[in-house]
Amino acid sequence: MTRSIIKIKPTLLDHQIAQLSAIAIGLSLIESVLPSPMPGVKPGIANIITLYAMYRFNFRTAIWVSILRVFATSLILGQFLSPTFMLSLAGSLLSLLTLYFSIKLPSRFFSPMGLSVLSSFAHITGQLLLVRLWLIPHASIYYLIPIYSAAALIFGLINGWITYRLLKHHNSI
Amino acid sequence: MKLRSKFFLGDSLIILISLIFIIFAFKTFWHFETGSVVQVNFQGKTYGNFSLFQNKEMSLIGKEGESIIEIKEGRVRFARSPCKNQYCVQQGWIHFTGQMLICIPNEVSIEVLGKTKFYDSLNY
Amino acid sequence: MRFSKFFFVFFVFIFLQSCSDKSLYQSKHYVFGTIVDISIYGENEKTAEDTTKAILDEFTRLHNSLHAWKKSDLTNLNDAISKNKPYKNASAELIEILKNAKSFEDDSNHLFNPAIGELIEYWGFHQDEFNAIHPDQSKIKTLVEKSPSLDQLRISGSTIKSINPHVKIDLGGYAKGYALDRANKILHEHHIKNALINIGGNIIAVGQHGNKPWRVGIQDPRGAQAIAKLDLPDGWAIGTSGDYQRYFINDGVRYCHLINPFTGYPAQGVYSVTVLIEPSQNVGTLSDVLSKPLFMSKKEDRPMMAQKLNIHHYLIMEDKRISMTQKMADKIQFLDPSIQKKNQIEITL
Repeated sequence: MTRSIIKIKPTLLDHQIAQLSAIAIGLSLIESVLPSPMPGVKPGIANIITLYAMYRFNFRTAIWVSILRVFATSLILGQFLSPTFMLSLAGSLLSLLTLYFSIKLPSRFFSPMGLSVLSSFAHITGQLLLVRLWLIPHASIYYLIPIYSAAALIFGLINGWITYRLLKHHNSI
Repeated sequence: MKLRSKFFLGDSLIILISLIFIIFAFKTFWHFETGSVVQVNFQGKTYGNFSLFQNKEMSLIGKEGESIIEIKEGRVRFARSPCKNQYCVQQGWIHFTGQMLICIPNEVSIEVLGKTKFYDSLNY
Repeated sequence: MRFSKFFFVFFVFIFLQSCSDKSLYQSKHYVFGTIVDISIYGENEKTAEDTTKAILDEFTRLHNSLHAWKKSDLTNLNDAISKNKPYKNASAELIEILKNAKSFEDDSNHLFNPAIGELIEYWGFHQDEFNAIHPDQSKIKTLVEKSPSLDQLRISGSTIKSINPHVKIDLGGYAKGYALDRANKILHEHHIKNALINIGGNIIAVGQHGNKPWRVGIQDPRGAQAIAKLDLPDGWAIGTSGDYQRYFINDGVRYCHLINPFTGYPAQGVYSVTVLIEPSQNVGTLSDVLSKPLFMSKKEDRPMMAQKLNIHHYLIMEDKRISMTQKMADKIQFLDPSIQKKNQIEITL
């Protein structure tokens, strides 16, 4: 009997996705041990990778990197399918959706910093919606909106700026 | 993708709108009025409303274990919680209207309400 | 540059938006010897202010006219009675009040008896603050035997006399309710459609609080906060008699201001009685008066008394027991869900 061997040939893009995801996962894990002033307020540094992947390669790459990061991080931390995982996923999905539309904005006027801010606001929106609609329906999330928004703006700007610098250094800027 | 210079009009627009929203959010949602009642929610339903002007401890047994809520001298906190992260306990005491503490794993949340929300007038 | 202008305008717009709901005009006052809380919804500030003032003025007038122990028309009347003299030129209002009070006394089998002022004074409740007294059994017996009653008043024209000089009228269980009815009238005169008036705990509701009914809390007779809440529909009133506001404790026994006319002693055992009254001409007065006979009644007599007085919604709180009518149970919501563990809840018919 002849053995059939199925050879999967990783493409260069696969390698790149894997590398980027690995970095993103690493950043996520580092972030998970950092103390945060308030639950839900995080720098979200792994988002730099997502944004970078989108600019450097394409949107599909960014989706892969983002989703892989969310799943892998939660598996590693033993939080798979936990509320934390759900929140992360909800935030990331809405964030990706926002990026999909905002990348269409003219790059003459909008840099990674702007997009990063938009995506971080989308991230907190996704999380707050999940809390309100499903996790704790009674929660008066209004109290959290001011501080989450401020964090979204600040960290969005920082991450966006870092992404911009990385792109400039590596590439076509 | 080519970028020409650092700051763009579009970015500034986004930043400014965000700032306005943040200021608005703080003004609207953050009250510094001392609350008088705490509403305890458990497993998706309101467990009860309790005056902050009493000394009281209540225990709720949820999925993860026992959460202990303590009311003392106009403030309330999670005294103990079975969750791993202990975020809810770490936040400490709350007492302003609108402040809330949530323990997602054990499905318990406590929110400080203002006087007026509860009833319009007291019969005694 | 254009952006800064745009954002300036936007900022201003945002700040203006943060103004809160101005439709509720609420004020608290100390009038009529007690705390008065008036809420008026959906009127402009001037109208609300004027109406509030009118109501407060009326309350002050009633306070001066009907006070039980400070100089008033009522104390003058009592004075005349004690001296076996006729009281002349009584106001039509006072005569009307006394006639109504008398019919309440009769209907309640004399459990509501405003003529026992001498007993109330003996127990020390004709003061703003009271000290514990050691009850003298024989003295109380003597006072009880005098059997004062509003039935002993003789009214002809505007002259009031009494055949029993020991009649001393105390309208404590009537005046607040009556004041509510007067306030109700003033609200209508000012065309106010939505208001909530609270005199010393007695509340009447007119209209609603915006798009939801007025909501009232019910005091825990042994706690500092509300124990229950219910919606008070348009025209309804609520009143509570309790042993926790005017009382003193002596040798571990609580003596409250609600004196049983037959025994001469304060009613004991009951913490509070709350009645809810459907809309009527004198809904306020009813909400004040009708809680008293239930407070004084023996447990087994309560349903009969409630039926006689046409009370459909009542709530009685005692030591570890809460009883109420089914209709009351339907309307009320207890705030502490563990209430059932601490109290035996009884629903009577």
